[in-house]
Amino acid sequence: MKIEEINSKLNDYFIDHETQNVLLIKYGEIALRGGNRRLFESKLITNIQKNLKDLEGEFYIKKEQGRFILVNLNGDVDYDVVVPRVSTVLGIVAIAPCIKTISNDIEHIKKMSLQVFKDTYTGGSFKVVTKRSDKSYPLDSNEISREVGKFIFDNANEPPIDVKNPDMKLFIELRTHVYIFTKLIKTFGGLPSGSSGKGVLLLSGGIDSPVSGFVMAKRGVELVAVYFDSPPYTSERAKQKVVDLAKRLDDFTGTMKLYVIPFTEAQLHLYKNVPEEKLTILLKHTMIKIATKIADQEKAYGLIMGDSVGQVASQTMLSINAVQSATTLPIYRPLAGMDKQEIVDLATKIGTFDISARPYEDCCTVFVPKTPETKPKRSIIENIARRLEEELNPMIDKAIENAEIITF
Amino acid sequence: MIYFDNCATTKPSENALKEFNKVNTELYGNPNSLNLMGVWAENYVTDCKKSLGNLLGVSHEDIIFTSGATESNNLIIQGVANQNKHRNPHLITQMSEHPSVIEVYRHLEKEGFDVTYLSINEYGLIDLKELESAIKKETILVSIMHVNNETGAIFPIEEIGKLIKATNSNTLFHVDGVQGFGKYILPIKNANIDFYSFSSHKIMGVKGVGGFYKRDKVQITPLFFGGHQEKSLRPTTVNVAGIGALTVATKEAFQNMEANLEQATKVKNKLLELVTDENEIYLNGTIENFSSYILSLYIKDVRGEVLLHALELSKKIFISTGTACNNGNNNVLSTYGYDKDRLLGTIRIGIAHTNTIEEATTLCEELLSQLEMLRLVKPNNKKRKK
Repeated sequence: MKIEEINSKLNDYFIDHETQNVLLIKYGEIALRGGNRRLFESKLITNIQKNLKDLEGEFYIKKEQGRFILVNLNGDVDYDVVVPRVSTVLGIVAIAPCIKTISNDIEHIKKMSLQVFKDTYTGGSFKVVTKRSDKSYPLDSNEISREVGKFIFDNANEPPIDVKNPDMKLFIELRTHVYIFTKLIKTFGGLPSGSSGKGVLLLSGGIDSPVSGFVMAKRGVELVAVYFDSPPYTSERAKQKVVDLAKRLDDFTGTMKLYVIPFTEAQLHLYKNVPEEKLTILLKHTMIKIATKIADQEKAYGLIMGDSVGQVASQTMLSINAVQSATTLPIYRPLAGMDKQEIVDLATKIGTFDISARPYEDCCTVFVPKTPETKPKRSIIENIARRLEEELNPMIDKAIENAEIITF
Repeated sequence: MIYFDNCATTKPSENALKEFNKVNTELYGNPNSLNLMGVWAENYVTDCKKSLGNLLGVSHEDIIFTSGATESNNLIIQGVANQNKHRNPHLITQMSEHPSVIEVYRHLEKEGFDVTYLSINEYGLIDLKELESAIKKETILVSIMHVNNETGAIFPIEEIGKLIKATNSNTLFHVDGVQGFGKYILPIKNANIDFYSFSSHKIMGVKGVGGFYKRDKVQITPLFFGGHQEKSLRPTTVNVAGIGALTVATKEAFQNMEANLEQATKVKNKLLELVTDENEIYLNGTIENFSSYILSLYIKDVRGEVLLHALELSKKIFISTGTACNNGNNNVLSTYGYDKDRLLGTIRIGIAHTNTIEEATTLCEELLSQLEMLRLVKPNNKKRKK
């Protein structure tokens, strides 16, 4: 349905619903994007609707001067269920549970404001803030704030008013309809997923890679994740962990696809033909090669990896340089300069940490050399990779062909 | 599909499931209700207790039903400790007990109780002299398992019981019977056992039910409060259907005990053919004095978990490991003095009488053929041959 159609349908609908609970959605950066703005707005609407599609209720999103109003055509919006779903969508800067009322009669506004105040007041001082886009309204913003503030003061046991530094603000917005709310919940911000094109994320079950995916998704990148499955050295539970991580990332993004690549054959081949201390680097080199082929297939323009410089042997500056020849695509490493604790904090915030922390360790560690090289020479790695190419390439193609593709 | 993880849990027998269904269809009353449905259910539970009492050679009044062996062990150990708290009691157990026993003791130790942990010798057993000298005037409880769940070591329970009572007649004796229940005869009275815990799902009953024997007149403090069921020791609505399935499964196990053991032994002997120097497969423990239902093998230069996944992927053969990959902690195997490589390279095969020689043969063949591939990758930290 086109936005215009939705709006006209909503207008009919609003006539029947004098007052109801809606969700006010503020978006930031996309408002600045000139010509692309409409495209970005519709991406954002699609992404919000995707997160609500399995919920009960008929949700519509109404555009209203730089913000969206989410309404449930079957009644009120159930905030307990809807807020967690909408607050993850990237591109939104804040949301507010909000009362929408059609009559803009000042007496009615006072009554509704008092109700919202009583529902959310937890003590301390307060202030009323009014915004008015309807300039023909008989009262100006300050007058409305004063009238409503006095009404609340008189009818709610005289809570202290503090216009400079209040503990709580009650917002009244007069637009086509009147919106009243107190609690503005800050969300992740960023750009709507998909508004900056696609990237291929190398996703393991660890803490870092899902965070790196999130950080790039925040800049509007649509994610295609790749996981390297090496049974019997990796278990079904380790795979399930990655599927669950991808599913969590999907809450932030528009669409999400996960490629599960059967990697055992290539891994064993490398194990047999590569000096022990260089094995990890060449495994990584091969994984980047595979990810690049998937990027071609998916029309993606970059790879995303969770490297944090110096964290382990394969993440030194020299190691990162040594794997570069595997691709001509740019590799985004948004965690490169972050400390482990910063990454863990972010993982906790986006809800991937508990999944990553599940105790199913991969037996893939049998491939981890005791003393991996920390200063590999790029030219040597390139030489080995070239020497292996002839035998390895068919294995890579076969692995991609046999990949299991999971969508959410 | 070949299921060789019968120490973890078993497939319920047909008759046990039939009984479960029948009770849930016809006898779904609450045994503690005053109405006639309640009376019927109560009578049924009493009949079950009588059957179990007969099989175990104890009075049916001394049987308490619980949710399983973990609850039974907790209730017994914590119940005895809390009942005697004021006397500054001493408690004894041994290092290779199941977590549902040893973790309870570790918890009690943190709470300030005095606990002695007996060590394990190369045969997987305790030194009786060490036990004797550990028992003090204040020793209130000794917990020793019947059959070890990881290796199958069978403890000489009768001898231990006699020794405990001869050293201190006030010391209570608790036996975690789970891996021996329905498989090996254990004369509870003769062995001077005061508490004996058992579980239903290890002998082809259903999950979520078990129980224990408590010698008449021994007082323990309950874990739960809120009803008078099971002499107030276990206040919750009685799991009548689960108890029915448990009783049927127990009857079947006791009636066929000899034949079952013979079959399990045949299967185990077939599997033991894997143990050769040429295969570099070694037995954890010994052959004598170990249960026929459990086989613990150390496979050199392979991770147990990798082998487990290889077998399930290639032939849908399900086994267990000694310990999870990379996590070299195994309470039981480390008490045998094995090193980390051995712990990580161990698999556990849980045998049931329903396993056939053909299944054992398939397992042997598949295991050996997988080994050839898997041993190409030596577990890390080892030098590869150039």
